[in-house]
Amino acid sequence: MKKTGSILLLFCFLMAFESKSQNPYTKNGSVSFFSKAVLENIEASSGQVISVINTTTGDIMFSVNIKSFHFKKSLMEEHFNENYMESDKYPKASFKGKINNLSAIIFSTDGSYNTEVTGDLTIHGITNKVTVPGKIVIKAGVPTATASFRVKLADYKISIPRVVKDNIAEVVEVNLSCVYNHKL
Amino acid sequence: MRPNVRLELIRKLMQQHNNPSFMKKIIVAILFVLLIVGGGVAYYLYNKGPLDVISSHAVEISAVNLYNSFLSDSAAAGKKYAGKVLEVSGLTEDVSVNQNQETIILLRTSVEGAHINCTLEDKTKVNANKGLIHIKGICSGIGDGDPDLGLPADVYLTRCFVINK
Repeated sequence: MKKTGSILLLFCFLMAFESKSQNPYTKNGSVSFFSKAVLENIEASSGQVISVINTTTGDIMFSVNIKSFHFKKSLMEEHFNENYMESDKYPKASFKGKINNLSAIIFSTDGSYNTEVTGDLTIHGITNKVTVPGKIVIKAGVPTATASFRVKLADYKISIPRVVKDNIAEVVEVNLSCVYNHKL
Repeated sequence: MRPNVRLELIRKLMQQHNNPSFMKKIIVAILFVLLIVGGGVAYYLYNKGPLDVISSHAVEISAVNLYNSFLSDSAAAGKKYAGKVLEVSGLTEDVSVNQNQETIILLRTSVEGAHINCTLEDKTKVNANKGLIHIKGICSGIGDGDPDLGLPADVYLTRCFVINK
């Protein structure tokens, strides 16, 4: 009887370990940004965000290739890559940080959680420490993370020439949405 | 036009050539035409839509070779392929639809779990057969993986079209 009990306990422990070590990831998350300026609004999006959540440590990472952003006008895309983001020199933008309230999020149960992540946001080769609020929704075991935040271009040494200062906003709005439909 | 009439016309023009107000008019007219043409070209370039992937010249490469070149020297491969139109041939590993309802085709590479990750431009359904497929699209480079968790990186293509051969 005692033996059965300990086997059951070991089984439960293994199950718990198994569910904890399931780290959700996606290689096709979405990110878009929006610049609202006097003369025109500019928006671009990418569906090639890589994101991994380590459910044991709370580590969370996002990364995207700058060249995966597409614009409605090809000239904008060219200027974005060559003049502002210098994508040949700095091909990626990334965030590496931690979920601040990891213990409150139960990844194995469906639910909706307001969360906050703190970490290093790297754009244009410049890294800044940021804290960003977000939301994690777990539906049928699949987590979806969404976040909206603002990026001040000057913080990342992205300079806007005076000639086009009415075309490009000094602060752009970034929207992120990742459905973690794979597990590691 | 008879030759002597033509000569007369040339002589008249040459006389006017020395007239400053006539020259001024000619210069203004030339500047005006340049302005219109320049403005038109600038307007066209400014509003030009995205690159037409289908009719663009493409570099042909296999999925395995493309991935291997990023694996051996990602900076050199990035310089060579990122931002360029490629026609990649490879074996389909998986076909799925992302959250924006775009079709994603994963092509097999030499590394288990690493793919050429292609986002299709048109929303037509693609058969998920595991056969050879040719995809034309713009390479956006190699993504990040997570070495700690053992997640290999993918090489990405955007605005893709399946090419029937």
